[in-house]
Amino acid sequence: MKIGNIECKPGSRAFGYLEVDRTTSELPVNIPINILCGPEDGPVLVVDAAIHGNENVGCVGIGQFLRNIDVSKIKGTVIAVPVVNTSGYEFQQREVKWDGKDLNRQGGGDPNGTVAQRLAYHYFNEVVSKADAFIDIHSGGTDGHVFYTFYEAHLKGTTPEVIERSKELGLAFGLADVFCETPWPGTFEEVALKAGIPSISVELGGGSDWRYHAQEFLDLCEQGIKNVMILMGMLDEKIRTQAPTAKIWRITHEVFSGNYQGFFLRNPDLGPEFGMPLKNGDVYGTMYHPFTGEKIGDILIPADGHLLHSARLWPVIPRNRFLTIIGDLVEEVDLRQTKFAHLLA
Amino acid sequence: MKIAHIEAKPGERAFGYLTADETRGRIPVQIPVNILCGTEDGPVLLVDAALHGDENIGTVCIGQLLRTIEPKDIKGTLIAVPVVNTSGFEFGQREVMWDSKDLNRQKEGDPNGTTSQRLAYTYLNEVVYKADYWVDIHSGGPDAFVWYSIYEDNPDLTPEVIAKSKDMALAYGLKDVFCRTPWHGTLHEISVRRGIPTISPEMGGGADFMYHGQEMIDIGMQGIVNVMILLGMYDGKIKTQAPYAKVWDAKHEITSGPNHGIFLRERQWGDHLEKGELYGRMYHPYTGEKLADILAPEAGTVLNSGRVWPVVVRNRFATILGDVVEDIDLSKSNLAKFM
Repeated sequence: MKIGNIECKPGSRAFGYLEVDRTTSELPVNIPINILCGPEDGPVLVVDAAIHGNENVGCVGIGQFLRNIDVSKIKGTVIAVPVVNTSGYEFQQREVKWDGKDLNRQGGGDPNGTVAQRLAYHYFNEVVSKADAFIDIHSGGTDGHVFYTFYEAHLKGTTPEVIERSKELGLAFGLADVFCETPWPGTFEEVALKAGIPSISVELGGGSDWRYHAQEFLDLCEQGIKNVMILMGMLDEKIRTQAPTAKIWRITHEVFSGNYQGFFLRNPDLGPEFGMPLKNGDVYGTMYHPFTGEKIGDILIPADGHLLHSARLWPVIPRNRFLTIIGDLVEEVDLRQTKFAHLLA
Repeated sequence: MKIAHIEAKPGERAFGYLTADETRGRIPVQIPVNILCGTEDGPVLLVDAALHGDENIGTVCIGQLLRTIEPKDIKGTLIAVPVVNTSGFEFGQREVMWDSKDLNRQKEGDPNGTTSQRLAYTYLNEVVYKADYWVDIHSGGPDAFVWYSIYEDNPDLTPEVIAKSKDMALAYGLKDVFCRTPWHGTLHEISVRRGIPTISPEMGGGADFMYHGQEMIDIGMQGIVNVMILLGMYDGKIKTQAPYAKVWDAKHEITSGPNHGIFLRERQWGDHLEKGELYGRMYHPYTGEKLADILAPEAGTVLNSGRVWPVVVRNRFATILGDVVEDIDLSKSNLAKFM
């Protein structure tokens, strides 16, 4: 396996940088790439994190995976990219620093475009396109908490087989909640699916939980990557999931801060439970003036549904900021009834 | 009470902006000031937050206090400044945006200096020096958690200022209190040397906000109320986190050392470390390899203070070690009659 000048022979591992562009002051725009080549041929898995630079739980989880995995036990190849958007990581922001763009909304990118468009183009063509399966790990930054896997059950431009395989990857990764579609277009996941690569995105918690549950997130991340490898026949172990069943959810509405900005305090009666049923017009939270403490207004739930645990946690909120998601339950899957039941621990 | 053009008569509240400077693009550099003037005369208490722009827990506590109390409830005057460093607040960062300086390291400031130096000067002269007592609330930003109150016990201060500051720190109600720290150049240091009893509570931080946000806010607001009760400005009983408090000499910072990377703690806050003992490990962000062990530079107890988001640059404050100076039973302290 060779990516740029990074070459890995069977039974070894390699690390290097794929240079995709230069900034105005000629700083290199690099993507750090680990390649783990098993001694035997097999599928290629690409796992990455921090396409949004401040979503760092997956970066740390991939690091733990890299420390613990024994290359001699792998069949096939793992390409692990702990940080795709290195400038966003450097400055701890979601977007690419050099052009302010969201790297995960660039579709297949543009080799003659801005830095983010070039990054998207080269990352897809030189890395993701080599994959037989693609896991794109996201998380909250310091100010958000999100915890679910998603795949796109209704995407046009791919095949039912690719969608079905993506669903299996999503269930095998092992989080207890899975979204079967999202309102977010232009992602690498979407481009990969259209190229025939089974793909999932994973949201692995976030800063607000880090103090209490960091090791748990990291273990789930490492195990999730291994679970997908087991499903693909790349690792001879057993799949271990968070729960024996998984709930599949459909997103119906996003909740935003709207015209309000200030300090957002979540309605304390709601609690942190995933899937809590809510009615149209229920109070999700209240916005307060930052300098006088006065109440500015309530943020209401826009329709009947279930509160899907996806939340901004730090209280400072500007206008029209995404706050949380409302959705409905589509299916509860007993993993012992799936095609990969024989691989379960 | 009048601060610049912001005036509150007895029984009134007022809100306005004190202008300290303007930027090169002529954006006003302003400090938002609330004044609550009680109907009866009494002490002037200043409570503020966000001298560091991203430390917003105190800001939210002060907001809740302003929604909860009325001028008629208090004796004396409350000056409440929820955000001192408004540009840092705007951009979610510690430093003042306009000159990248730490506002709380500018000592007495300078009326002819950079924006931060002017802000420090104007804030001290127009606001802090009008107060008889000052509660300066800090916290972690979204990436850190800190939970204690600071007062200063040093030989160049008058015993009266030390004693009153200590009582305020105990009354505020967090069970850990620092009497010395390695952090210098603060506005707190300037105010106590001018004879204004001052405390700096650290009120938690982002990593805990999801689960304990309301609790942090309630404890922070109760802390301000407790200090007002101690000072005779408010009727009620002091309610503290615990019936006791521990006073610490916070001495030795542990920093991330020479490596940037992913920092994972191996020891918990409250653990005692010997000199050279492991506190955490730093890993390479792109390969996962271990870069270094982070060790205790001296012996001490890990005080509940530290960075909680794993992405850390070199030489960044990670936590602080200290020694216990005093265990205080609050029922036998100066506060007993208020509790």
